[in-house]
Amino acid sequence: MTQAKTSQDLLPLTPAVFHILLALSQGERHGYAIMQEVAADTGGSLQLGPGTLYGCLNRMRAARLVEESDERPDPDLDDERRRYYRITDLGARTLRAEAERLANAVSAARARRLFSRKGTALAESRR
Amino acid sequence: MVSSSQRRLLRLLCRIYGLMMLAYPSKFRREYSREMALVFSNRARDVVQNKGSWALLPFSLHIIWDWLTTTLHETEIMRKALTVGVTGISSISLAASGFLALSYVAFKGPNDLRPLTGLILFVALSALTLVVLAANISLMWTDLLFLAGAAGLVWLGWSMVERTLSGPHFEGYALVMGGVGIFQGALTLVLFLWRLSKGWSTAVVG
Repeated sequence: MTQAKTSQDLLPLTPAVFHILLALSQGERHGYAIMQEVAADTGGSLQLGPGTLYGCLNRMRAARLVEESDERPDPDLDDERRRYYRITDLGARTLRAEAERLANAVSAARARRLFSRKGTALAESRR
Repeated sequence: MVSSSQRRLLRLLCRIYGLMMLAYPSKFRREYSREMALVFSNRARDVVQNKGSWALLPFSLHIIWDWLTTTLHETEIMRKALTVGVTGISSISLAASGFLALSYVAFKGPNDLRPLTGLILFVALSALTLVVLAANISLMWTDLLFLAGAAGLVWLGWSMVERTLSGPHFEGYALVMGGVGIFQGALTLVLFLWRLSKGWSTAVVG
């Protein structure tokens, strides 16, 4: 992922990048907190390993989607090895654009009656 | 609460993960290895606390899978960057040495081509490098041939630089071409050594 001029240039995002941005949209997080929030957001279906998490963060920093935060909580309460990350303006715009893209895709699927009334995909409910 | 035997097991896993991280590129390691080790130990401790020691087995399999896929991905990025670097310097070198060789023939005639030996090596190696990378050729003997050619280019570049710096006449073109030769030869050496060590079969430009 290289530095892009607009958020549209970066779409579609990978699920890992999308969920990391989603976790950071609520405020600054360190790596393990991002990992836990992604697992919680996806009901445990997306478990990021350390390699995936920091590989994504590395590319997202290069693309200016996230940046390292200078502010740190009280050092007594926190491990000094931890670094905190925050979403940038470009990251927030990209997250919104990707959420809209996904919402449009879901709308198209819904229009083709791929979902049952409860909202689960038909293929899932037929299993 | 983690028992002492579980603590020992966690320490062992952390050490093993520390060794596994050596497979990542050094730049990536310098930047993130401390945090990755911390995240790993936090996650492993949580797994033991919440699910017991046996849960470390699926956790370890997940970590191995994560390590395998991400080390390959990270080194792939470096390989691509190196391939793009070699392609760029080979193109510049081919254009510059080709121009110099043609200029020499145009001004002095084709009677004495001995001074062109070095430039011809530049042209040949640069053109062959571009062809091999673009056509995705990866055979053991071509890689070994390129290693020899790249070593020759470093030697040639060094001798051009050394000759113009210690000789009575300073020649700017020799200094520039010598520098380019050293740089191009070194990059080509690294790329083909890496190809040989990894057994690459897909050295695609870009």
